[in-house]
Amino acid sequence: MTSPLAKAGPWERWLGIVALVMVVAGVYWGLFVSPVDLYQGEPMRILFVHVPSAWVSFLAFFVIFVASIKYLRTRDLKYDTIAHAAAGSGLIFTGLTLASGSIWGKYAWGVWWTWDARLTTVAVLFLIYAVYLLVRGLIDEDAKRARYGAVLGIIGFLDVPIIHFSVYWWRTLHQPASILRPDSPRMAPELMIPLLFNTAAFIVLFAHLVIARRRVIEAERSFTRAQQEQLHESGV
Amino acid sequence: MNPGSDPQVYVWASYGLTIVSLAAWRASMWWRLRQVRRQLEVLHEAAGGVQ
Repeated sequence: MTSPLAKAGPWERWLGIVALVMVVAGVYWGLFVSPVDLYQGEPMRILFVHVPSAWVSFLAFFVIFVASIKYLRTRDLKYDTIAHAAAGSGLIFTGLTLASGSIWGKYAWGVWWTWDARLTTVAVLFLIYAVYLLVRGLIDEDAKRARYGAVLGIIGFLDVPIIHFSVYWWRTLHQPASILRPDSPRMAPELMIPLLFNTAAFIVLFAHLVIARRRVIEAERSFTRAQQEQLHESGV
Repeated sequence: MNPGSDPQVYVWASYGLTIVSLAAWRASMWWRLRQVRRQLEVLHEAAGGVQ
């Protein structure tokens, strides 16, 4: 196994380069090349960062969910580290989903925030991420922290399908799904292609961020271990 | 719609916030790794001094 303090591995490096190229291209496409919807006008371009951020925030919790189950089955800390690494980026992407949605809402609805079912369930996801990271930060013992984290990761994931179905279960201001719907997608290809490209770019970026964050977590763990060993040797 | 304001402002605010936040998050990892590396070096130097 390579040391967490070693330089970035090939996966981290290459995913970083590909993510950078794709995000730059996607932003350019979204800002300058893509046509806009006749009704929504220019602010529709926000969709090209808002929707990918939302999908990645759900993907990040799915990663936590799977890694948490794997951890509880195997008790291998490798899975706990993956879940922890995904949570930080998940929190950022969920925050960006709320912020970009809020900016769009201010233009389209005239308010920064409303207690709409979709908005509220995404805000709950943000809180779940925050609580997950907070609980982890409060526990020193590795196995205990991983166990608590795994239970929270599994329970917390329940919010993701609730977010998806919220626009069908309750009357909401937020529009229903345009792509992930039971029948065929309701979006013009000129808009859907850049949206899917940006989603792919954000997913590659997320993969890069998880690998990079994992290296930081492992380095922190090495430091804590070395510190404890030294204290033990010096008889403190 | 909010007719009194420039729609471009909303678009640039969203893109700007997204890009800056993601770049800052990545930079924070780089900074933290550098900090842990330095702490480990100090720890090893201190251990060498004790021996």
